[in-house]
Amino acid sequence: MLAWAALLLAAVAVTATHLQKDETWIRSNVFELLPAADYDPLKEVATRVVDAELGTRLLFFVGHENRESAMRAADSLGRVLASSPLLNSITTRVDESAFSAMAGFYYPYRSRILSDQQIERISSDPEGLEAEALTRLYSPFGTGGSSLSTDPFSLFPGSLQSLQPAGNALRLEDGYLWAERGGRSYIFVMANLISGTLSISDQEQLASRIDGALADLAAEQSGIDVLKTGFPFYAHEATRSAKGEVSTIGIGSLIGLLLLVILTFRSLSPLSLIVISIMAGCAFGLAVTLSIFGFVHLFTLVFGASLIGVSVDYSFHYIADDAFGGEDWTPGKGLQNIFTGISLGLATSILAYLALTVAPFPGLQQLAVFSSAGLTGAYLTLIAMTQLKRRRFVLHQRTIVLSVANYVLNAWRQRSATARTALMIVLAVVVLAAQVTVDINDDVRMLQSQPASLVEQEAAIQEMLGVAQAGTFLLVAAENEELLLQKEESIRTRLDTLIAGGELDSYQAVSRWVPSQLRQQRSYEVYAGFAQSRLAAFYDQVGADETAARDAIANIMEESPALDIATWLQHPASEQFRSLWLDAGEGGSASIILLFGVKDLATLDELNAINKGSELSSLFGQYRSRVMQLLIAAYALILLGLSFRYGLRRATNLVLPPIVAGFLALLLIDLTGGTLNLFNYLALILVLGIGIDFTIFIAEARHDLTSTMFAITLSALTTILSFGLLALSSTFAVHSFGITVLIGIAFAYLLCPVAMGARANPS
Amino acid sequence: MFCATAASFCLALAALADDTVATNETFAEIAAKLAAPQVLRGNFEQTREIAMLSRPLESSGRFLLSDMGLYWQQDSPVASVMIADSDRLLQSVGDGALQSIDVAKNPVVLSFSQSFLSIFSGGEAGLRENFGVEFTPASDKSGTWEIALTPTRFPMSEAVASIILTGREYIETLTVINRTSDTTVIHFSELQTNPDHLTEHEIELYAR
Repeated sequence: MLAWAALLLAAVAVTATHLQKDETWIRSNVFELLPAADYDPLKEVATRVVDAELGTRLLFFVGHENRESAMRAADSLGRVLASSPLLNSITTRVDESAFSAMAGFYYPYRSRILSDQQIERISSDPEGLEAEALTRLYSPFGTGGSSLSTDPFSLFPGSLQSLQPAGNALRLEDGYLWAERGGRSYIFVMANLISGTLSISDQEQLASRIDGALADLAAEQSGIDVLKTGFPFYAHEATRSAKGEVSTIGIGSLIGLLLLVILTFRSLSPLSLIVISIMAGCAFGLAVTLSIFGFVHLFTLVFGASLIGVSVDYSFHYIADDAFGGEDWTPGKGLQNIFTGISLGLATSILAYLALTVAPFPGLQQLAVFSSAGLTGAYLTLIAMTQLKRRRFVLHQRTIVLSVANYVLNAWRQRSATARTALMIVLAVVVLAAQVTVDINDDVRMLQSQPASLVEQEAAIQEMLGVAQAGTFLLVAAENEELLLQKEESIRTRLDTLIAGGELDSYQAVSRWVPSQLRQQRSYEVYAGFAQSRLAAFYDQVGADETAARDAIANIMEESPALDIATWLQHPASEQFRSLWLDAGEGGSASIILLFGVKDLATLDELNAINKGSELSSLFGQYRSRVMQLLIAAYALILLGLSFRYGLRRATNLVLPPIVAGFLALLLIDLTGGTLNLFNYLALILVLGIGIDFTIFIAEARHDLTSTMFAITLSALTTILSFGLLALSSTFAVHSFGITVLIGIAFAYLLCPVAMGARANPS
Repeated sequence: MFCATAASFCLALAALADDTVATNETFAEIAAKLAAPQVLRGNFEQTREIAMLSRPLESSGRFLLSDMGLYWQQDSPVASVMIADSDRLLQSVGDGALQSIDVAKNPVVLSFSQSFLSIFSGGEAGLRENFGVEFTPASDKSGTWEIALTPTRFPMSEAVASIILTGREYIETLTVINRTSDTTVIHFSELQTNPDHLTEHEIELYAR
């Protein structure tokens, strides 16, 4: 008892020190669950850049019937956003001088940045270009002759235009970017998060500040509506709805548990034993996890806590042993009666969980460590608690739990041992064989809960922007800068074809802003050739001064310096895009081409497009098949371990019920139209852990099987009430987990009496 | 619509009153008067001086202004047509078909055409939205007022230093002084507001 208390204190102390020194001890970022080291470090860098590019961006459209009102509202939203320490670079108005700066930056290179269309037009229709230049020269709407001597055919505005990615549908007025929708004007506002990984409390703080600001805006001026989108909003919404659900479902299962215990024992004291051992278990699990990993993931906490829930079995067996123990029962005897059973149960569960640590997935490793340590803690707690003086547990006569236990037990008792084993083997063969037919869907988007209102707002925002945000990109690498730019250009030709075919909205690539030297040279030659053959006649036609014309032609023909990457990177004109140019180290050069509005990833297959969502989905798929493999390994290990005690035939009878139950659950989910994912398979770990306990306790029962079956019935009911109820969740991942536990445990319970044939000493 | 009709009716009355020129009109009154006609037709002669040229570029033609926008038809030295309204711009070269200039992608051009439209039909508010205004009332002798406009909106403000309008009953000259100090002077003549609606022929012009 003292030793246990000391251990618990130590666990609490370890946890407390971690909580104090590190504020981010609990994390919710999904990516921290995934393998840290990708095989390609460049790809990792690129992924980080793209994450930062898209994951930190908050987009708003402030709308009103009156554009002026919308602009004023956008300004006040901008001021609120600017006051948040979690945001930087808030954009409500485009700095107009940036346009002039950009034009000023490119003007010296104008002969080297002709667009494809301009190059084509110069060779196919020089007369047309000339006629247009003439019209422009006379047009009342135009700056007329300001560029007559330096850019006589006014090619520069077109060239500059071609440097901009296609598809941006926003218009500019007084520095505000705006779009029209349903007769209302919407002003574009953008903000960036200072970091892509916000803690849950920061997320909350930011979301409530923004929601507050939006409510204020609506109150200040009637008719204002604001559309918002961005990864943090989704994350916040997901956390919020998960929290709400967990508390609703949690309260529901708590009430269920209380009713169950009161109806069975007419007393709450058994519950305190259970609650104390589970809570102590969680404290141990947290302490060990923090000591090893330095932080605990929300995922670990949620699933780990449910795995530690397996330990209710231990408590129930102790309670049942007491309730059925008769007059001369003492806690010492009770412990003795159940000790082998719960120790074997603990050993098999730990064996199963430790099998998970073999996989190179930090998420699973942490889960395994947390659960194993927690389960051990709960086990030790129960043993320590048996030392306490307390009143005996008294069973409420005629409890329905007892009737159910006897009914299930009797149903199996009427069959012969051979019939029971034969039935299990047939079931196992059928259920396992049918597994090849189940539908699996690892799509990560299906697992995330996406509130309809956010999805609608995002769609409206994308429609106004004219481009869809997406995490899809190409990673391009080459021996040097020039070859890289050339490679990008040849890729862009293919992307342009996709854009023309409606498969893609737009893309961002460095070679758009800095063409390769090869391309710049070609542009220059075309430009100079055009000037040489046409310019003298043109100047003559418009009546240019002869000397001035000669000087102008000489200037235009003179070879201008080429634009290089270093110059661009240093200039403010590259500010928004320079992150696409990667620091590839000694080995060469690399860059990112960011894609927008990809309709079908398959069209990009030969370009090796990288997509965050599908990468994540495939990782989830890998996780799933890895969990599956590890489960098989765990079952094999458990079968082997149990064989030492019971012999292979009897051990098979212990292992088959949880296997059949778990896979039958998957099959039933599939047959009723569901698809399977990682979380169904994670639930199988719980079904295995609890299901194997059921059969072991049956096999290890010291006296009448009724007391054991009674404890198992309680354990199955509590598991279903606590974790099976998660099946009601609207978050698909949580639902998947819950429904599998619900069905799996129900079957594990119904099938567990099969193990009675395996009893070492039938009484 | 009613106000505009009433205003043009008043204008017609004023014109009937023996072409008397009010010498003490305020800017607001002038601006309202400029914006009043339902339809305005006339001829233009444009002279553009560019530093590099030894002689100015001269062009002439006709124009039409209505709620369908500005129709600007150059007859000399080469034929061309341009149509501008609040959110689009069409341009033809020679006998070629009208081509739409994507204003969303050419904010500069849009800014120019909108500034011009606001000069012709924006009224006081429209002018003040786009320009700094300096008004010189008509002197008794000439009866000619002058309005000096300084563009305040990007990108017009980047290219144009000032626009000077002079006139008596209506705008008679419009002078654009570019930041590069090239200047464009447009003389308007034979201005007509009758009939106060577009004729079928005129509607066809816009539909070209």
